[in-house]
Amino acid sequence: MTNLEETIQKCASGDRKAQTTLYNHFAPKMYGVCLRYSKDTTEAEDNLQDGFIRVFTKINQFGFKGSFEGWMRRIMVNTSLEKFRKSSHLYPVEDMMVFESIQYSEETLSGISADDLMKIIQQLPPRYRMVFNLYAIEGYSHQEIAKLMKITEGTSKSNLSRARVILQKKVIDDFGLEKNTVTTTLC
Amino acid sequence: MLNDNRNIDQLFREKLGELEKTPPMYLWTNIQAKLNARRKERRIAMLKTISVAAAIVLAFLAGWWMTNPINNGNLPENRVADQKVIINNDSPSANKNLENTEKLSVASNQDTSGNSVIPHRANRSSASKLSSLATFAANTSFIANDHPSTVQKAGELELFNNENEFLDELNQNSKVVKKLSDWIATVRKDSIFHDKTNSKSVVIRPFSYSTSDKSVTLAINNTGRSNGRWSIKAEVAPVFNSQAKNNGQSSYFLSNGSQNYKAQETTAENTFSGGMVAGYKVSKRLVVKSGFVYNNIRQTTRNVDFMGASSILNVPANANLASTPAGQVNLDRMSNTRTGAILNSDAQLNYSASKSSVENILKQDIGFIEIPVQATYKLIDRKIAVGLTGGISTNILVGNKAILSENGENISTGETSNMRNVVYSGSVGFEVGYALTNRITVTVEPRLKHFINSISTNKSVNYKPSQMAIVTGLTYSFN
Repeated sequence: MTNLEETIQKCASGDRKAQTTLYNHFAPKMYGVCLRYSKDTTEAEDNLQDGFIRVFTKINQFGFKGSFEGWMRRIMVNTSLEKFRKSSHLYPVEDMMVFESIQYSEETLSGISADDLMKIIQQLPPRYRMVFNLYAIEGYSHQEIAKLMKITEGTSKSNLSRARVILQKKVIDDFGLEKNTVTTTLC
Repeated sequence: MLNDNRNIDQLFREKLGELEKTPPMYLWTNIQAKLNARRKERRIAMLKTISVAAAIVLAFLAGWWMTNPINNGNLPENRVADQKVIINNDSPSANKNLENTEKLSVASNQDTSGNSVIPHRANRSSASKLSSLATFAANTSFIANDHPSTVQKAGELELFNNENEFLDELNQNSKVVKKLSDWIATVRKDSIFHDKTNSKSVVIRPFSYSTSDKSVTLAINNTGRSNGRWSIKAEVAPVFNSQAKNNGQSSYFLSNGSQNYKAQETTAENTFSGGMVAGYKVSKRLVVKSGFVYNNIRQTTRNVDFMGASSILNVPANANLASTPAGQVNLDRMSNTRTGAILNSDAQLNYSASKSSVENILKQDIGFIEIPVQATYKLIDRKIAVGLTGGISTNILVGNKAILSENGENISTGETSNMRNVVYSGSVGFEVGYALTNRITVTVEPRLKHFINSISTNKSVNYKPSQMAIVTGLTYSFN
């Protein structure tokens, strides 16, 4: 894409060709985002589709302040969060396990593929997945997350720590990492 | 070793934060389809808004007109012409403008409030005079000026010293000459001149006249058009409906093997439409119209294939179904003695034999009240007027009837299912009008109409009929 600004402006006026160009350029990245927030590829595809429709219908509101990719990413995240909020009653908060201490080396971690990690993150209970993504990957603060998800900061914090615990366990279980001092508590 | 929390966050951030994956191809196709659908929805919503807005504007204008008629009631005896031709007569008085000469002048009388606008002679070139006259001839709408005193009040623009000069001037410009000399000829032909004590009285029929001691005013009623903005039109039209595509759903189970089998066939019937339309003249050439028109779509299906009651298809036991291009027709249960053409799930195999003995006809009538919002642009605006009309209409479903007859006898009634309550249509027409009188015009307009959305809500029935109507109308113009 030679000129992003021009393409965006064309998209705003409904230019099909520009829309295709924009989609082709950003879809893989945004699909990556949606996959992280979804339980499987079907849900991710739905979110990506809805997200892009929203991008194209709201593109005239993009004020060219800040990164367009960031703006788009926020739309994808919001779309995923909305979908979660609508269906959140379907997911009871599950029993959780607390791992007090886990230690593993960076060398071992580098051998784990992104696909494997994606599977692990997708298996998280939806709310933990949302909070973990927002905090650990998107870099939102608990305050922001609380606002976005309409929960308290405390819930955000506890969800995050629970998400971490589950992820750690999965990583250890799936990749046979050494666990030194692990104690498990069922709540 | 890293702090485990940071470690797990980092692990996922690094591996997944910037992950790119190519989504499946069909996703973009889906997105495009949805965007197109949204665009279509928006367009329909816009049409709705425009229709409503136009209706409101028309209602407002109607209200305004009712309370403030254009024909000013303060001048009951002085119907002042917007523009008029004045022939000034010989006069004994020493009037600096008009004395002892016969003059033809053009008066512009937009301002009737001024009491002492003094006539003045314009120092104009020939071209400019002709141009003024041409504008005058094109724009003028003549109304009787019965009261001589108004002439004094009017601003008079004198262009020529006498009639000969005026005619000479005309002769130099053939285009304007034709128009104006025709007009003058008409005036003269229809006029009776007679002398009356030092003034020239002019009676112009069918026009009006007025006289004063010093001048004669030829104030001519509008020969073709009324001066008013509002008009009302009654219209009636034979309507030729486009033939619907036969949906080919007829008897899949009775195929070529059956010699007696006649395929189901649907034909569109011609109908009549009629209604009342109000018009508002936005400008000299542009008229917007809206009103109510009844219109219907009628189709006849022969050799109807029926599907009987079925629990599987969720068809109630007292119904019989036929499939037509406009959708499925639900008919009440038919008399038991007349089941020749009727199938139920058990009798299908005997169908061909039984069907051949009877001829059944299913007539569907779908009626709409159409609320058009149209604009007519007049290409020619004379006694014979020609205009182009285009518009959109909201069609409200008001009738839905189906009648099944067998060997000429009605045996069952019902209705076409899933009819849409509000359908939109667009139309274009070519209107030719002839002014019978000052106020009444007869028009003939071939008009093409096409439904924008399907008249059925059933997604598998895509039926957007086209109609060709020869609309004959009688328009009455107010004022």
